Amino acid sequence: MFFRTLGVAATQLTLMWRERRLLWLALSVLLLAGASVATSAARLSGQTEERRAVAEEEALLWDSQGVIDPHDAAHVGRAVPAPVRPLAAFDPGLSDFVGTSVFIEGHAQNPARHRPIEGGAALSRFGGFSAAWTLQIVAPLLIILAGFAAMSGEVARTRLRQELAAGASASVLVGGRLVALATAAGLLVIVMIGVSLPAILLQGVSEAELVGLAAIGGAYALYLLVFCAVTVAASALFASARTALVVLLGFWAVSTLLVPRVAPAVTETLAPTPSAPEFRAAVTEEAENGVDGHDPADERLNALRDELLARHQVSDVEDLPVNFRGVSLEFAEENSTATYNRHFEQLYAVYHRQEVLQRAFASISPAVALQPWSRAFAGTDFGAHLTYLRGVEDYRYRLVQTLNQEVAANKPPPGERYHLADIATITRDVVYAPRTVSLSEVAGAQAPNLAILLVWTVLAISLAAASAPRLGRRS
Amino acid sequence: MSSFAIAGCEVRRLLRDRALPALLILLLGLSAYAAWNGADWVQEREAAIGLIKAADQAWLTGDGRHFVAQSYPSVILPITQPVLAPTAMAPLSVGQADAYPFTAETFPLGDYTYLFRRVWADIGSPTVRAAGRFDLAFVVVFLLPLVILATTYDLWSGERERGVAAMVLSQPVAVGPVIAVKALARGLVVLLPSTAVILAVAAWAGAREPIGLMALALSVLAYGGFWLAIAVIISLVARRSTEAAIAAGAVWLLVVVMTPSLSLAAVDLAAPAPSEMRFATDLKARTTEMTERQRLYREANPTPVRVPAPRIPDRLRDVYADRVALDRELAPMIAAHQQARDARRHLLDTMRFFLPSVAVQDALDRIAGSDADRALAFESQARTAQLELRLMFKSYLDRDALVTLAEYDNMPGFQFRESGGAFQAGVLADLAALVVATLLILVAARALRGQAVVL
Repeated sequence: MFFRTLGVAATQLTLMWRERRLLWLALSVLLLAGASVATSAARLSGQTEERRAVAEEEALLWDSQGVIDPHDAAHVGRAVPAPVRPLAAFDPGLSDFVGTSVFIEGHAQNPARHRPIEGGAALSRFGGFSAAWTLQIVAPLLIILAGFAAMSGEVARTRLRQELAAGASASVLVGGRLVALATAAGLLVIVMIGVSLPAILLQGVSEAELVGLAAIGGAYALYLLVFCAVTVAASALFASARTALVVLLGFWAVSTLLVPRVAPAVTETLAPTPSAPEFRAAVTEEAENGVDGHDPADERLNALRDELLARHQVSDVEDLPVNFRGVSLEFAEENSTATYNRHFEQLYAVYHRQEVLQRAFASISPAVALQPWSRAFAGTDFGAHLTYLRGVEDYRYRLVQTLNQEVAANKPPPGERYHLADIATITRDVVYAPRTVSLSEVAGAQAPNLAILLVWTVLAISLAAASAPRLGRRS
Repeated sequence: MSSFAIAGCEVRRLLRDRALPALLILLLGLSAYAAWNGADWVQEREAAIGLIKAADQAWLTGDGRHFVAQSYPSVILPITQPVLAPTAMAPLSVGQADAYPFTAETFPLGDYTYLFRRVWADIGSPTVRAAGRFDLAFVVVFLLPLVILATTYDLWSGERERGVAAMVLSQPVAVGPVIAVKALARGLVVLLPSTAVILAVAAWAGAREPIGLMALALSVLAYGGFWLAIAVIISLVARRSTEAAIAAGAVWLLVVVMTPSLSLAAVDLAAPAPSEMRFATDLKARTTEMTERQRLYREANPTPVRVPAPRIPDRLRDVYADRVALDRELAPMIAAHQQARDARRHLLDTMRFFLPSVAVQDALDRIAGSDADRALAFESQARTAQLELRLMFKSYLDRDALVTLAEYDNMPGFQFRESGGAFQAGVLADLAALVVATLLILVAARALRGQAVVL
């Protein structure tokens, strides 16, 4: 039975090979996707270079502040560019929708700025062409066009009757067509990844990123297998090629275009994100009207002062062994950071809730499960961006507190208002260490999406298998 | 056979088709949800603007007024945050409204970056943003063509399959007008109710401006007409309905999804957006350098102490002079950056004339007031407001006069001046592009009309 199935598959592949229009279409799509990967890789290389230059210039500007009041340096701040992900050439994911740098300063946590999506026009709403997009949207359509008439329609039905009369079982015929279509789809994935590989390798990818690319390829193979099985099943279930095509096109449009667009809109309604002014007002209210180094009237600050005075048994802050200005700045930074962290974590929790809610839509669209998987392993999902944001925030806090501690440890010289220090020297040991998410963490977070894809695959193959007996009866 | 008879027959046949009401009900459901989404977005934007205005008011009546009342030795001006409010037709399309700031912060001595420095970007979920907004514009641009194609793709191929074409061609009638009348009849039955559905849900969502609704209707009809013309040409070329369905799907994918997406990729390649990150750092470096130079100059050449001392300290005049000098120094750098941004945007804008789906998206954005041009007009007007504030600041410095409470209370706030309207030049250009595209397809269809007689 196995070899007979392979025999049918070989015949089907020959028939598909003869259908040159489809072959040319597939090649054109591959060419476009390959060009997209190559140009994206070139763009990403440029971005890497630019961000490196920006980081160097920011470091230079920071170090050239010279001998000043350390707290002034906290207000000068510096920008920390986001890392460029090499696999973004294959799947840009959210790269265009998240900020590319964070401006860090004292007292406040700023959101990432300079989103590539900013400053566009009406055409910008049509963006997103990439190799991943091709595999998510166009490849299923090619599979449908290649397979909808495999067993439906007058010509295919006549051939099918002849095959059944010659002693072939319906299961073998369905299985053979599925294997043929899946082989073609698998080839498409392999060629697409193969075309992308040189451009990605040229950017200097790590071993983990190559494993990520393999994980992406595997998920796309599963995804396309779903479409292969559904196409074969529809072709077997509907005698009319037209009906099979209409049903399959409907499934394609709903699962690849409509649901991935509707799902986020529904989840935004169910778990609304606050507007920027609303979020900022809430944070400002808590952070700035709470303890603030610039507001000595603050009650908590008074309590801290009183506690310090009591501990050192003095009645005036001037008599304290430390510079009270620095202590208050340090205390205020700790409090404002806690407030910002709390609010930002609430915001990220909303994003996460939206992603979980979106996952429910994967029950009617495998693309909804595939997209986050692909983005996560490409390092272009929100999880990867969040890792960058948290790394930057950790750096910001250490940097600002180092400056505040310098103020606290040094009282101004007699007759001077502030203690001055060389900023480059006192912050030399505070280094920004970008964090990365390990593959196991990504795999753990994406396990539900893989499970959904596997369920889809099993269900689709079961549907194709179930269509075989029906095909035998009807033909 | 008169045209009316053909049209009547076509209309009756289509009305008997059970798929049509199902499609229209589906369109109604999706449009209603999209319009509700649009209305929800408007409500959120208005709430955000309300918060900004409340914060403004608190400053104006609180700290700001308090400083003026106690004759603080400075020029205290009513600093406000200009806002770009949604228009009456805003529920129609979110467009570019998330991609540009809708508020700014003016300050007389603020530099170029100050206007939007403290304005936070849109913090909506990037996953939601990447998927794109499900608004009425999406329904019109992406889904309406599918409804039209689903009901018209077998305009002539269906007749071929049923043998009706052979019978019609045996009559003394020209095939061209027959197909044209059939297309018009189907357009009447599909496009007019679809337009009515879209207008009704737009009005239900709050987009009730009569001129705006008229422009919306024209845009939908022009775009629908374009797709009817596509259906005509497909029916001429495709022999079988299955072929016609595949062709219709392929053309939809090409016109609505692939070509715009590839065009954007081409623009990114030909005219990449100038790096905002690089610009910000370069600007900061130049500002730091200039500020240091000014500081050293002031240290070496202190402003002579005047006797009697002016009411507003000369220190403020020095700050003002330094700020003006800095802006003058930075102007070429800013102008070069803006030129690069404008060149790219101009290219993006021009591309729409060759892409019908982008033209209608642009028209809907403009009707809704969520287009890039309106956002840029806001930026420009906010910059002008900042400049006016600075000139006002200077006049008080020159006169050495403090702002009085009466002056403070009666200073005009920022008011965005709308230019154009629902039928602004951009919308008319979009409509013209759609009409030209439709006419070109009809000319091609006329050249191919001989194909219709091949059975």
